[in-house]
Amino acid sequence: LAAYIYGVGADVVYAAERFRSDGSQRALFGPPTERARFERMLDRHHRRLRRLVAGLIADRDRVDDVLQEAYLKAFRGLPGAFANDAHEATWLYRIVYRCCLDELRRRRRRRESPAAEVVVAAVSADAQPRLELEDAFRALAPDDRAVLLLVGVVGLDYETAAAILHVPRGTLAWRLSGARARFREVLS
Amino acid sequence: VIGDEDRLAREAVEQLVPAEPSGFFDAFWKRAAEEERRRAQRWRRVAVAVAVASGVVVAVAGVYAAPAVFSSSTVRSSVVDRAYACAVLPHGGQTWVDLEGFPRIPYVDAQHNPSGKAGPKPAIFSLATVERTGTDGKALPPFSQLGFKDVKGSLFVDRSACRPSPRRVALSQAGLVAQGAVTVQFGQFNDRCVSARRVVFHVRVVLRGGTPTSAKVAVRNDDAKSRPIAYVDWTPKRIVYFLDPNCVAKK
Repeated sequence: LAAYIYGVGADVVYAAERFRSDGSQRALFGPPTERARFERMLDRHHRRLRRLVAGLIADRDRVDDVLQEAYLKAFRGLPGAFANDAHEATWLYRIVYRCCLDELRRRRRRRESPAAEVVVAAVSADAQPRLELEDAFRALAPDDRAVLLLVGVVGLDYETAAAILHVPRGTLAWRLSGARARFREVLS
Repeated sequence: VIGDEDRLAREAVEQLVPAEPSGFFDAFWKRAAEEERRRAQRWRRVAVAVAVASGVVVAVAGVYAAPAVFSSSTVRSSVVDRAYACAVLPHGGQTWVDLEGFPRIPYVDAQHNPSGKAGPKPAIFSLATVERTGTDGKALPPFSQLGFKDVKGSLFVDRSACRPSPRRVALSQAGLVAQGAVTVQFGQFNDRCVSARRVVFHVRVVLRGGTPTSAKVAVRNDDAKSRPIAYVDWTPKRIVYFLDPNCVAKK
């Protein structure tokens, strides 16, 4: 079924959506293959991108909104083709990363902080170590979290991660080392 | 902890990741559709605005260009710049020329208006060298050898008494006495000047749509001495004139 939807059938699905009676899905999406391509791309990256966003903005309530915003931007600017998988990943991750930075900036302007303390007060004592771990991760600077997430959590290689952060590979390695040290320090 | 930071980071992130809502992609595609529709509307609005602005610009340009086109096609300016030599008819052995001019008067009653109608009286200039009279002693037309009013097609040169002259007559008041300016408030001039048996005049009239709007006239004796007789700088509202000292105002 998936092959049918993502393959030739995408055209049929697209056409059916365009002529749906409720009108809600009759948007002009551009060529149907674009949507199919984008869906396939998200299928490959969505789970890891979700972790990246959750770790970077450290606010459960905003994860889906930020992701949707990033996906919208990505869909709007979807190139005709990518040179290779790494190129595709760099492009998509960079958009998501920048949306996360925008979100953090907005939050700083609003002088808001995620309500971690409130959650801590409400949970039981046996969940304390997990919350401490979470707090330690939150305590890191966004730059440290980003590099830890991209390499340590998402599992990208140094080149791709460096391209996403727009820094040289050496700088990335140096930042990663520093971030790990600071995380260790906070945990201890 | 040392060497274990990545695993701990993964654990921390797992706690931060919320459960994925079931309709995440449905909501996303719906949002994308809305976005696309809004963008299309925005572009339509921009296109309409650009079209309206272009229309306004074209209309305004047309309005501004229209007078220029109109004036260039129908209200053409031209200049008549000629010199004529005219015979002067002797009267009892004496020869003289008559010069007359008055500015435009906004309103004159029918009795005093040459047109016989109440209303504006046009500005006039005339130079008469030949005064013909009938058997009854009344003047016969043409009453002047050079004349014009601020009326379309009024420029007149009596070719029966005047011929084009190759002589150059300077449009200048040199050698003449300033008589002042004639305006609506200060009446008119009507002077008689003794002259040779022939005079030459140089007239330069600016016409707009065939109507004289300004003129300069210089009159000299057409003889060896070429003494200046008159110089007139004429516009419908103001006439400045210079005459030979021997000229006298006619009653």
